[in-house]
Amino acid sequence: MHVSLDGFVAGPNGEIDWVRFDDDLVEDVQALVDSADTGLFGRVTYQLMESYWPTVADSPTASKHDLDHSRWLNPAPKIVFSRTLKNVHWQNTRIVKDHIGEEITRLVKQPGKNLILFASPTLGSTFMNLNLIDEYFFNINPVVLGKGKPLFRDQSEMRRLELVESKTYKNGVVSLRYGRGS
Amino acid sequence: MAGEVSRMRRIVVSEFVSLDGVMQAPGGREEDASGSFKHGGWSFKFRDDQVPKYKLDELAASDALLLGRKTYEIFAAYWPKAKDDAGFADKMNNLAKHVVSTTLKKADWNNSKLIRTNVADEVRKLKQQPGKDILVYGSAKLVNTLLQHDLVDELRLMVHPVVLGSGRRLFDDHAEMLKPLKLAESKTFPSGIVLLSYHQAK
Repeated sequence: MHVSLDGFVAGPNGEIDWVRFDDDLVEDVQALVDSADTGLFGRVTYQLMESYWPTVADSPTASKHDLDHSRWLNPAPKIVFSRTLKNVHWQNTRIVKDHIGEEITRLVKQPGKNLILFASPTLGSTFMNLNLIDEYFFNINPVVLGKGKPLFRDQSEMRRLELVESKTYKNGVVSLRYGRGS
Repeated sequence: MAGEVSRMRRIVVSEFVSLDGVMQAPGGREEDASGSFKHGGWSFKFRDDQVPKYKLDELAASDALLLGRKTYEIFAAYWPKAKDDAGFADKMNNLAKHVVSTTLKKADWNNSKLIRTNVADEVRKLKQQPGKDILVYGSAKLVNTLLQHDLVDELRLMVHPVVLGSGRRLFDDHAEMLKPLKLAESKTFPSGIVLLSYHQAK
């Protein structure tokens, strides 16, 4: 999850042009993605990604990162959590409407790699409230946005986490990795 | 000192924040229970022996405090009676204090002065004077004003590994600003606190 210093994951109109990437960071994000075999999404993030990733590899200008990421993303099983979404047009995707906690608990028990939640701050807050998240990865960008879409909202209780790792990148991003607190 | 390059005094904002950006009452419930905030004192769950050392060094590099009215009142009620072996309280009590408030009638804590109007101009004047760093603790409203006016030379966030879920946040949620900053330092403390320090982007 890419976050501004003031805790936004996107600008007021969904802008993410402030997110800083460099080769080191891209490599680490890809390693994180490779540790998972299933993608989880809220509706808004899913729709954004569905409009981009299925065809990105066809573009002659696609970057290495785009190609690597699309090789994982397109065939991977994907679950979008939404009560309103009717149809999906991306391969290997299914919609889950409710009973989120039960669904995740069932998936976690199955053999396989990790489940990764992409962006999706609203769904992420729901996951947090249901105590479903084992690890958090935040890439703190050196910018104050002023307003936008917040990362954490409506947390019903105080939640202590455990810092697992912090890493500073040349471009000023600090990546913080947290696990469940004791 | 002869040969030393003179430079403008810096405004250094130094904050305890949670992962969700809350800065309210880190040191105790009695500091500020407004908005039915029930997590007062949250920062004490994460202390280690390096944090006090860091805070002491930070204070030693400063010779003035710049505070908003609320934080000033909290500090003025606490520090004059406080005492510690490291000398933190003595230093806090002796420092020059500049308090920004339109409502406060008087500022009785030792060595305090009020700034009532033209905050940005007054702070610019302070920066012109010779001296060490001017420290801002807490004072969320003032910090946002200073940021708007590009008056923060260094922003230090001690990010605590906790999501509080409620409470006053350091940054305004609906501010008209987009400020790129430059990462100056990041440091991890044994308690899981991460110091993130930023300078203004040139």
